[in-house]
Amino acid sequence: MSRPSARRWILRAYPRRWRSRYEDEVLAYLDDEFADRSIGVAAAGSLLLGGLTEHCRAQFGAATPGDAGRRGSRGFALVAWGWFLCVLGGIGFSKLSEHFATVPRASGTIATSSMFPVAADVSYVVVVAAALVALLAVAGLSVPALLVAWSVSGPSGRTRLRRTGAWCTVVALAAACALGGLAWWAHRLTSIQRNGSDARYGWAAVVVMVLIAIALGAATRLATVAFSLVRRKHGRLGPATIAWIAVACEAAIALGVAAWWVSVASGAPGFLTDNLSIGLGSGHAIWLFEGLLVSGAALSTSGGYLITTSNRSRRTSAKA
Amino acid sequence: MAGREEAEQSVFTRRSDPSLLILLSLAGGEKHGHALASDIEATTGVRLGPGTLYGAITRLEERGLIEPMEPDGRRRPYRATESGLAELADAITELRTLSELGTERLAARVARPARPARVPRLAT
Repeated sequence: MSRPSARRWILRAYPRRWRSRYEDEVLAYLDDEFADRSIGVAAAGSLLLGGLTEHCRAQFGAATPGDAGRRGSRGFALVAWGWFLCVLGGIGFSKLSEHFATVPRASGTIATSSMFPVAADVSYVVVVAAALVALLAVAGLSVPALLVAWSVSGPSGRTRLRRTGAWCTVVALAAACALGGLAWWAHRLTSIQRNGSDARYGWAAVVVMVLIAIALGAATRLATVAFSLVRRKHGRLGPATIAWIAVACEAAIALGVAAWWVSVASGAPGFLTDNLSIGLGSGHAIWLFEGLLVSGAALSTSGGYLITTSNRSRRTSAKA
Repeated sequence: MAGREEAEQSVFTRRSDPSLLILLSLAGGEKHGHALASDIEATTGVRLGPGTLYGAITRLEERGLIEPMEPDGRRRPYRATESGLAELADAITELRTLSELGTERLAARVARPARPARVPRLAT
């Protein structure tokens, strides 16, 4: 990669809006400062940190009262990315609980506590039910939102939707092909191989998570673009409704997983010290997935708050 | 809450704030990014990284304390606005007050005989 394109590549760490204003200037600054030399780790680190800061300011920065539309858009992005984290945590949890079905019994670590199976089962049902409600809500609201976005957006909005939609389709198809191949391979393994005795299966699960993350990231991007286009005219598809349904489901999932974790910790402590085939302890994995779920719920809550306050300020300014 | 709002109103979070250094440099005349960084380094010894420099420029421009001028090729010079110079004057007054207070207290400390236990021992 040539020096100018490497510098331009580092500047991609900044939000697009910021780049359209400052990119040329910063490139001129780097040319003056470093000429043909490499910009070095310190300057690259400074730029990456600056990019992260600008992204955070774009998402969480204080908005002026007249900036309700942008505020609502940021809210959509936060809800969508929060949901993305939550789904990742949920996939990890479901894989881990599948592992639980055989390992503790095989190693005789299930305690005799009478509450244990009931608490674990109830919390598991809560997680699955919340995930189903969320799936139906998101599917039920996203598809009409996409249609509304298409109908109310102008030519530039439609171009954005078309471009993002094409990109998402390519990513989703690639992920689906890879997942299909992995599923075909995993289908030939026995249940014993799948649950611990074949390390490759553990890594395949990680690959599945990464692929699903990529596909979800693409879908989230599409949803964010669509919702940002319908913010001015969303009719009954209240964005705040979507946000708070997502928050409620994420909170239920996070609480359900925490309850499952507590019941496992009290009823089958051996499971938490068990090492998964990917070299990660079950106890650590639970913390990781719970962390993803809670972070997702927190992001979505912030998004819900932004959307609700932007709707309120829009109503107030309309009355005035 | 009022305190928090006041803190958000202030451009300077600390005395070596890049925003203060940039305003100080622009008080001497308009400059583009690289000239700003070089001037700040020459006068204060602080070398601002590109991310820090342009982050501060973004903030100052959003607050209307500096304004961009017509680009000179790819370089865009900036100049301090009236409100930017007023903000700088306030900061300098604050610094002067701190400086006078510090000088006064240090002078009083030197005039007072120091307690032996606090005097650091010199290596012989």
